[in-house]
Amino acid sequence: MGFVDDYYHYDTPIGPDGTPYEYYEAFRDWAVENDEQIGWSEKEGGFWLAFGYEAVREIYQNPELFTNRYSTFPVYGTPDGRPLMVAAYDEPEHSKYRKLVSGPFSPKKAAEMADQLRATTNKLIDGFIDQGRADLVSGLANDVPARATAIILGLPAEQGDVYRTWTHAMAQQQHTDPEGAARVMGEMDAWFAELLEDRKRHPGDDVLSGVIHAEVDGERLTDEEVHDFFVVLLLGGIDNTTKLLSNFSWRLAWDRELRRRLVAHPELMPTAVEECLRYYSPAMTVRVVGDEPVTFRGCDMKPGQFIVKMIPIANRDSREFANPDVFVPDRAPNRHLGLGAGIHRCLGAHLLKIEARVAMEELLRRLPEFELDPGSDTSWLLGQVGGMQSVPIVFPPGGAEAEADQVPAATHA
Amino acid sequence: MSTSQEPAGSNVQVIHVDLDRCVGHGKCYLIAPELMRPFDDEGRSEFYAAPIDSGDAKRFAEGQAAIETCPEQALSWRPAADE
Repeated sequence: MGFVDDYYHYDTPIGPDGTPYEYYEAFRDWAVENDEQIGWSEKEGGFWLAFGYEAVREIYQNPELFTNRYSTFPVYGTPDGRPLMVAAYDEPEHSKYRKLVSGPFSPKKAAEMADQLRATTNKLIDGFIDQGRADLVSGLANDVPARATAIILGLPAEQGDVYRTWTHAMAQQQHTDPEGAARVMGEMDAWFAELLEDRKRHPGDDVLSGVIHAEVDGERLTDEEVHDFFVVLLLGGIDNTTKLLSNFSWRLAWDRELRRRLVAHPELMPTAVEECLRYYSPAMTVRVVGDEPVTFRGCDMKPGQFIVKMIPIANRDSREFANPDVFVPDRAPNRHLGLGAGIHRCLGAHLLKIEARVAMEELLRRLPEFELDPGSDTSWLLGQVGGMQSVPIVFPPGGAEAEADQVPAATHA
Repeated sequence: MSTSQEPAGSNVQVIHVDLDRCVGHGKCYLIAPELMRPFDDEGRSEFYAAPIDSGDAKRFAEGQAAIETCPEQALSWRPAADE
């Protein structure tokens, strides 16, 4: 199995378009031609890869067989070595802890943030719209999710770059520079310890305050458990949404026909976001075979073995999706697995979708025409959360939008 | 599973949500907001519209699209009389 033997998510080949999708599509073609869904790789001590849609879906839907005890492969730790809160829990603890935070991430709460997200997006666009050039990652995709996450958690909204330094340390740097990552995570822990003391004395209506005062089985959470919520919600809230916005922005920069269709038909944006989750899935997730061996689709799986779910490939499986390599903004049905499936379905899904909808709507409203800057390169970050790291664009310069508390536009230069 | 070949009025159905399967993806209410809506914090869904006559092609097609887009296969047609 050449594709299976050669695969590794940190060194997947990048193709001429600057993404790994030429490789993913070739892998998918081989899988479909040979009726394959899962394979075994000898790399990194050995692991299973699930790349067929059906296999990935079934793994998600059988949490008793395929557990969550580790979130990454290879394993690298949370700052204190404890399992990632909620994400790395199995039942019954999983539901007990997840429901402490599901309220703030409900569809209703997400919808209530729309106006604030719209204002944030416009302010970010005001920051570059008169320049005729920008990077849609550093100028937009980085900041919308960081601010939204900060607001929900009750953290200062202005230091998104600090939060990104922390999530980068936890998610990528541990793999490439463990000592540097440990130092950054130490700084994060010290900062959080102070915030925790403050929230205990002055509770707000944010998620962290809620968790500080919550109970599981009649007992309050420990400081470590509150810290663990902070870590997982920061990680979950920032990386994945940023990559989705980055990948969508990149697509809109060169796919003029898609962009113009969405400008003319903004009512397609919600289903276009779903399609982007399918087409450029930001995340790959991992399961660990539980305490019982299991024969799954002809594969004899042993307790403790890892399964890496290759969501980007599963979401292009032609056995599930008609014309899988076409970006269809109103695709229906669209049973994509870009936000997972089963009981661990991404907690932030409703909020992520509102963020993406609003940010892309406003981007297209303010900048209906933009192109990739021919003088600059994009680069794709590989790993369990992957996507474009920069999307440099050029466009006809425009003006900031006047707000009630700004001086009238006529007095601007 | 119904067909749309029976006389109008003879096959009135609702969409049943299996709450052991539904995890709140929200794809059904995205595609059929007139029929499905979230009801809890996780965003799990419920059918809240008037029962659908199989002769009503438009509503039937919307319901069918909602059913087909669920990755958990949590939705199904059920006779209105049974709910």
